Amino acid sequence: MIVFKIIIHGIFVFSVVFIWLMLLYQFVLTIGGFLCNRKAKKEDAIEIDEALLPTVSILIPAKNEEKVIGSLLSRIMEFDYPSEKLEVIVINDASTDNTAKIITDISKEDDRIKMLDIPKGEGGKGKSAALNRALKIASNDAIVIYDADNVPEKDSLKKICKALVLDKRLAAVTGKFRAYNKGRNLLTKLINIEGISFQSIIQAGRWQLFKISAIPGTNFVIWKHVLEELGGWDVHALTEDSELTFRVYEKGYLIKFVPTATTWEQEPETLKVWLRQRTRWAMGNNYIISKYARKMFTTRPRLTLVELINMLYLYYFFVFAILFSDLLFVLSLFGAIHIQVIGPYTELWLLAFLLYILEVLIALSYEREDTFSSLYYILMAYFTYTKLWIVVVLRGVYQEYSHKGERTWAKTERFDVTRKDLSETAK
Amino acid sequence: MLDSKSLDVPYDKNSILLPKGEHTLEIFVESPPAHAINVIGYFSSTLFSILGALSVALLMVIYFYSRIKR
Repeated sequence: MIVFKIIIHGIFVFSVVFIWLMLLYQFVLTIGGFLCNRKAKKEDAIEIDEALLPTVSILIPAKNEEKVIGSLLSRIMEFDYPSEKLEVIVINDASTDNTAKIITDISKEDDRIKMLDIPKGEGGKGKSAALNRALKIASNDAIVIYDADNVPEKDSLKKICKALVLDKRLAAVTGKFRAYNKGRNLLTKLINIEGISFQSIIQAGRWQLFKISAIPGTNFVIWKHVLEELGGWDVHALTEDSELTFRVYEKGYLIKFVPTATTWEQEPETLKVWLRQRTRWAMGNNYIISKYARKMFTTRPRLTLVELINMLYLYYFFVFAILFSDLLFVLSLFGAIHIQVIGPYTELWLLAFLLYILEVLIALSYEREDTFSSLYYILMAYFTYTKLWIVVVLRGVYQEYSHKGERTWAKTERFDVTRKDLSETAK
Repeated sequence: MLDSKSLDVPYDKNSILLPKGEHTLEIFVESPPAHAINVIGYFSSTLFSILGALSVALLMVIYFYSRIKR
């Protein structure tokens, strides 16, 4: 009985310590994000001679993307980027719908748009494989990736390319993504809050304070020679973007985050699609951790180690600390256990709650979305959506190590794009 | 624990008056690991509550500053 009580108290105390170390880290990043956003507005005002902008090959992997590909290509044709410096390669990855026809029709209007057709027998091997094929035929100095469901803002490409040429230490520059279908239902509203918070706190804060940023799957530019030096994308990685981030840091380059370069994307509209997508992310992170953990303390530069610790902490230590803390809370509610550790724990819970609300509110304020109704969704997310991440991580670990889940890259299901969706992207 | 409720018995007091009937008394002797957990718990929670309160105050300033400035 006494041993059991010591174990319960130990789990409780260390869960609180792990949770609070993360909360304070997030607080520091929120400050960094605030400074990054202020700085980004000043950097936007810097004019650059268009002759200095790099020639760009935009690569778009597309497998059964008939619902969304047209919106992306139409927007690319409206970019304020010098026309002669742009090449667009749409990779039709063995689509079985009308994707190829849509690409062909649009390419007739604009000769910068080309289609790389991967036949049915050779296609469907994942995003990395498709991108590696396109990289071989890309003819320009910089490579830009957009997912097929994106609708980038007209100036976003110029902003990331400008940042790339202005700093010689950079291998890549990433922009921000927003959800154009955020108003569709409760789930998309909560995903929108999550997306904004992640980018305004974690991405912006880490870039501002530690010169670290992660490549997302879309809306980023990278020098072609760096990609060639790295050997392209890892075909075994389920989250090829995060994996690429590690290899870029291993080579000693930096990745910058520019919060004003925005693309709009479609977020999952059903819980089933969301769960499938996020489990793939969790499994992708497991792959990265197992790939890089063995050289954790020997690798140089140390940015790789920092990134690995960040991933381990965020996806595992923190999530499991929350899980244990919630379990203990529920058990004590039902009188199954009595936690009698001395300390201001009720105040700590209240402060954690306030920190969360304020951090998310600050992040939403950059997008002018810190409305009264947002507060309601922030509160709701605290008790529902954030807890779903525990399920995702546990599911990812289970599927990875039991080999029961699909270990292949799975495309996220798309939904119809409405006129209202597109009006969001034109802001 | 007296009847499943926490009970603090003062050091100078060795008897306690209870109503008539059956009672349960659990006595916990604090072992070194339990003591260590209590010490870590107390100091960490106090430190985090101070830092947390300062962080909340600073974030409130930043938030209202952002709203005024935009």
